[in-house]
Amino acid sequence: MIPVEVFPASDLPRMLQMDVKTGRRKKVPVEELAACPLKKLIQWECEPNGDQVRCWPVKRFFRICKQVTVEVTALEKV
Amino acid sequence: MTRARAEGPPRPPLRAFLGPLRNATIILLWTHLFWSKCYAVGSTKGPSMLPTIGVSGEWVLISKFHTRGREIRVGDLVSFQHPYDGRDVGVLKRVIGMPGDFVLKDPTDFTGDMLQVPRGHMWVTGDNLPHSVDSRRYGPIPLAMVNGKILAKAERLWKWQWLRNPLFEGEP
Repeated sequence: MIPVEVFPASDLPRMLQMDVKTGRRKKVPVEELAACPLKKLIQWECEPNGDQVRCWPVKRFFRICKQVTVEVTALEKV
Repeated sequence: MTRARAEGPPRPPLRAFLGPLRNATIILLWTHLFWSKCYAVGSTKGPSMLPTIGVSGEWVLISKFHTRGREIRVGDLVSFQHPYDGRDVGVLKRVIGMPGDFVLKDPTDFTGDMLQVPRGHMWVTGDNLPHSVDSRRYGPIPLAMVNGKILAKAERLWKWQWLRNPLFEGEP
């Protein structure tokens, strides 16, 4: 497995300035997240219940920017 | 000096065999080309994609125009080689992040830990989070392992249902 750096959501503004290709600070700053369209993706927690399956939604939110897509589930109260 | 000709029933001309053989070979090659480079149909099993895709017996239409992650977007369903069980084992998951994107490591653990998807990789999870073994377990998946994009599903081969990308083709 390729190693990835895990960081708390509060560090996102700093990490947004990093270039994944070079590991250096981006020359062009990322646009304001709040200006990017907000999209919702619903995933599920499903459990078998007899012959049927019961599912509860897990909502995930993303800001779709031109340069990058950022999951903001932990940051924004929607 | 004269040569004696062999006696017996007349041999069928070689063309009678070669014609159908050539046609069968051409059909086989075109079918293989279409199946491996254009579209394929596969069966699924397992609870990891509930409720989008059932536990067993469902069929999926796979577009091979998206191999190696070509034109794959966040929210798409993709088929890829299992990272540990070899090329013959296919896995079907939803793309959560493409190279450079920022995603939650696990939305079910409520830690808020995030990561940036490395270059040349994607982050995938099953739709049924508690019963899916995915990037949360085996990390980012190389785009080179993508076999294709899932376009449609069917409980029966004559009853297909298109699968939309909920981020780009669903409700705002």
